[in-house]
Amino acid sequence: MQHNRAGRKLRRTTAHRLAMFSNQLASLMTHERIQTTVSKAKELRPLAEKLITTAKNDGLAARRRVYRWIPDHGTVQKVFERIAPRFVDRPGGYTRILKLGPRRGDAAEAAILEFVDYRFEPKEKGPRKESLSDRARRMSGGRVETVRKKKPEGEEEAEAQEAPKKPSKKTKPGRSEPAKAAKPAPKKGPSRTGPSKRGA
Amino acid sequence: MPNPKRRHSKARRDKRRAHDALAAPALSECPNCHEAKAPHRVCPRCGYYKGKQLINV
Repeated sequence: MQHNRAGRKLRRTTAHRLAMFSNQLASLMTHERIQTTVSKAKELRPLAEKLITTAKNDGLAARRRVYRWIPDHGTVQKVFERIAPRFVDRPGGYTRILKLGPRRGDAAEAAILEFVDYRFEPKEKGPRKESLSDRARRMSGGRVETVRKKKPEGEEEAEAQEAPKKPSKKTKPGRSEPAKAAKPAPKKGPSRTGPSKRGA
Repeated sequence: MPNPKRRHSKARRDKRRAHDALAAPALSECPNCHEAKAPHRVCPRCGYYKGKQLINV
């Protein structure tokens, strides 16, 4: 039973977990909104809120406390000068978690962690970007033939080898069945008998 | 090694499975696009959740 043991391990060692939180906090402060899983968001939210509360009272000591989590002076500066001032009148609750449902790939419950004053601007959907196959179609001016795989090519060669033999050496024993002879033929070496009459 | 002495009857097998039924997922209606969606989640179809939020569709 898990009594008196708060917090999730998130299947990481302590150092790994703390490093991940550090990275995620830096991302949150930079982008104001991050997408992660519900479990990680729930672990992260108290950490993020504590950083903001710390940053409300600017000073060298406070800056160093925030720097412990976000080891980047530019980001720390942003937290103190651009993020924390927005929340001076708000007694906590600076972030919200939006649940997105199971994500593709591992079906983990995805979530967005964002500041409550984050302003989302819906992106107008532009025209579809030209894919590589679109480009090929345009350059060739219409239909694009599918490139044939290597395997049938080898079989064709075997058939070509067999083709000139058949009419002349029909009576030779062991060569009566073309289907059987076609299989070991490509191992001997390709097109030793030259181009076939049938193919030309 | 211990082994089963007797084959389990169909009745025993089926009784064991009496509690194995799957429950239907709980769904609510999106107030914006009226699509069925998971409750307390951002609507995956229109991206709304108490106002526009995601980039979708």
